[in-house]
Amino acid sequence: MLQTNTIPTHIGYLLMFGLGAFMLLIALAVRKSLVRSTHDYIIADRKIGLGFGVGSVIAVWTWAMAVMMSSGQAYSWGLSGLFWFTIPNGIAVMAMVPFAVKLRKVVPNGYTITDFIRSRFQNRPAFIIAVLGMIFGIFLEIIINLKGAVLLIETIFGIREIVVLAVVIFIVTLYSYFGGIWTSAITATVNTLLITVPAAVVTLFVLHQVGGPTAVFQSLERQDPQLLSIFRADAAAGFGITLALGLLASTVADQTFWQKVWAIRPNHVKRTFIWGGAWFYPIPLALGLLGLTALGIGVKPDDLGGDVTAVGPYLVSHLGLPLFIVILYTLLVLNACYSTIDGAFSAMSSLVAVDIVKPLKPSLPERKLFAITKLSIVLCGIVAGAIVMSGVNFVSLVLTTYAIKTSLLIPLILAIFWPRLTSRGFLWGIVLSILIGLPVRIISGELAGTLVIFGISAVVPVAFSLLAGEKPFDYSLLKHTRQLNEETGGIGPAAVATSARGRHNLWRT
Amino acid sequence: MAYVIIASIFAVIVSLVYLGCIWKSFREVSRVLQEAEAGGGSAQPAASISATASSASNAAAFSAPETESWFSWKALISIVASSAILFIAGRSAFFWNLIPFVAIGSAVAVIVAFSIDFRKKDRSNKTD
Repeated sequence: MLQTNTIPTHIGYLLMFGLGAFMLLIALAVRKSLVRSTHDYIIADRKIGLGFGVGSVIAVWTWAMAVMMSSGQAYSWGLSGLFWFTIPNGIAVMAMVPFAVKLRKVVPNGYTITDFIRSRFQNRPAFIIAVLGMIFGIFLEIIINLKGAVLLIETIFGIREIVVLAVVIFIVTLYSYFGGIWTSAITATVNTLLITVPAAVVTLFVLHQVGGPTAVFQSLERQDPQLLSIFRADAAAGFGITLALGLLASTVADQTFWQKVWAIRPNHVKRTFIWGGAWFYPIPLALGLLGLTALGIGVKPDDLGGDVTAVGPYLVSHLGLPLFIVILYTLLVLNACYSTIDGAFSAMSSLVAVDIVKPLKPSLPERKLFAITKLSIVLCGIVAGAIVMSGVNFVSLVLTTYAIKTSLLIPLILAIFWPRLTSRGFLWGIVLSILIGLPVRIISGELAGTLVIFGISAVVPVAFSLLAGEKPFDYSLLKHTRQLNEETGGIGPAAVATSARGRHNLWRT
Repeated sequence: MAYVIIASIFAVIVSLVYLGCIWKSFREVSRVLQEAEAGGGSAQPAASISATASSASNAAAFSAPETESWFSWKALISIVASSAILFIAGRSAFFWNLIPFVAIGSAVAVIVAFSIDFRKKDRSNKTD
């Protein structure tokens, strides 16, 4: 049944450049019509509607690696693998709702979650560690998606890794440069179409090519009936629980999502994240069938070079499928890759403008701020490309990012909902959970490490805050922060508000 | 093969409507921005133009419902429905041919989201 498709290399280049050129055209149109200032560039003047909101949330959350991992987990664990991969993924997006609704009310003019941390605690180390967590997270998103693109293009077209990396990072950087979050939202909405529709057609064609689902189903039943069950405990213990906990940190502690919280029209915030999570589900559900099909027709892990994530590309390129189906699948994964990277670039530009440049140079003219904000995307692209192409082992980056983001989750939740949380509690909760949890994770495995990080990051902030006995924080102080484009009233450190808890150096207040 | 053909037909129709919605929404946002520019004077500097537009968005922000609940039955239904789809997929191969159609459903959901935007816009135009 399996055969090697000889797919010309130039089609791979054509797809990468063609999709990039299409996105660039959209970006140029967006730049011309919708973007006038830094404020438009990083927050879309808070005018993103439900359509672009839902479309972009689905695409940004659909990582290239996730597209392939849904097939990979189904291939590894059967339906239980698909269950534990799919369900927590959607929940992670929908879990943004309580935090998004609360913060959008409390800080209606917000830009970044780290800006909230600064305003809430007035503690530089706490702010710096939060910014670092966000920046590391953004780089990790970019790198993982670049890796996904490499895996796909290498497996199907045989194009060298270094070439794929250079081409993809150049293309996405180029079109992300124009238009910022508006570009990201509109191109991502196009990406959602190019992910969901091909997913259906490709999966159905693959099922048809292998003789229909009945043959695959019967083969799986013969191999092990447990492959058709969603209740395998070993799948939950093997990766499911850890993944579920890690995914929550991937949304709630990620500026890519917070930027959307403040860019979407306020009356659509809740619905956007509910719909985004709910309508993300069909993507892994459909593509997971590719993994089950590979398992059913007897694809061996050795065929995949030991990397189960490659099962989707391998199957699609070894079934003798028509070229247009291979192209559709390639487009699907490339779209997932491009949309996540441009979302990450956009989030990075907001962090640079609001959390780095503006506090350092509060009186910087708008034109210069706008230029620096746009250039930050180029710089981010260069750094991400350099990291990936240097061939360094990503393990330490992944581990550090994972530890910072996981340790941020509970203190961040407490900061949003618990007025008694102090800056020392917030800071030490994060620091101690990293210092203790990371070694535990390395020595005792992911599950133990994750639980220790969560445990410490929950107990320490609560204990420190209760012992300190400070006055509860008054969230209403944050309600009247000014926007980047509101020149009157002074933007800068001179704008200092005094509150019940002392001086609040809110440069936007 | 029938499933592939039906899905392909659906895919083409949904894609055309979807792209039409993106185009219409893009034009709408662009028009609103141009109107805001015109309202503030065409020769205004960029920052002032944005400030004009942002005043409206601020007003909208503050008018967000204060009592909005974070719980959603739709979220719960989607989780249960997705789990049920996976459970059923383990019971019969027949459903495997239907699952990919749900992916086209995601594109349809975005179309519905755009249509809500358009409806709200129409309503606000009538009110004006």
